[in-house]
Amino acid sequence: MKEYEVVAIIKGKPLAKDPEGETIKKYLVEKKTNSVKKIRTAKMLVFYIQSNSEKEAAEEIKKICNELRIFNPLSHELEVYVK
Amino acid sequence: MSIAIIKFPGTQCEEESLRACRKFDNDSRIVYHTDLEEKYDAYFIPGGWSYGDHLRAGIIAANTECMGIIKKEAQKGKKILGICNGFQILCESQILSGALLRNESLKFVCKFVHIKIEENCSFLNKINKQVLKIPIAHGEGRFVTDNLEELEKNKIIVATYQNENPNGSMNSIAGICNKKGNVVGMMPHPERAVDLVLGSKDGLKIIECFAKY
Repeated sequence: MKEYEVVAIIKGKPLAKDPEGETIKKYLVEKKTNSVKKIRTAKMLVFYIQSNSEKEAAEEIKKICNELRIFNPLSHELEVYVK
Repeated sequence: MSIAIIKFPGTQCEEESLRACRKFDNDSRIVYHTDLEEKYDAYFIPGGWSYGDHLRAGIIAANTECMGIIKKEAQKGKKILGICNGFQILCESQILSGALLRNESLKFVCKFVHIKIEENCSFLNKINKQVLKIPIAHGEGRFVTDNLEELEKNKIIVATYQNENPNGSMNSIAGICNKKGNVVGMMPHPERAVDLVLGSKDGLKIIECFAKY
């Protein structure tokens, strides 16, 4: 067993506006450039988990996130990767 | 009729909810979530910041054993009212549909609004078409759903904001119910509008529908 650092990113689905992302784009990023077309904010959780492999670690975290509704599937999408 | 007013760590509105319910029901009492039993006629989930709103408003309370009991009681047809954080908990428990996201203004909004009780299938249909002056106080009240048509078709939408949309909710939705109509959740605080000295007593009409009949 080895410890893995697994990152879970929870970001809003396009069905709902992201006013924080829009504000960052309009009032901050556009001071520098107009090439950024959209910003979506997200929440990131970092899990440190003992597991047999990277794949198992990622699968376990996906399962935890789904079963405990760490993200709300109605309004959020989940991305999981091992760092 | 006995009403359990449920308190989680971080619940703040239990005292005014108790006072409001006791205007119609002497047996109302505050029950800490770990002490809840399936013996009450109705359940009131008040506002506040359960578990500090960590991760997402209502999600940690939604995962408690208490909400498992509430889910069972809801299936039996018992009346359940969730106000503000209580509404968020009911949505996160999937007892009610939809989700409540951060206000479109990104600001905490605390003021009186006017809501209209829509024609709906819940215990609030006795006061439908009435416009009520009720306060709101929330940072995460923007109601979203991926199934708006079904909500409209099944008369699930209980209340809508009038004249303004204070949080950016889809179709100005302020409150919804389940398909059976025995579970209602809303962001406005009727328990804070039960006496003219508070600026309005329109909230009594909502509390009466919940606590009296």
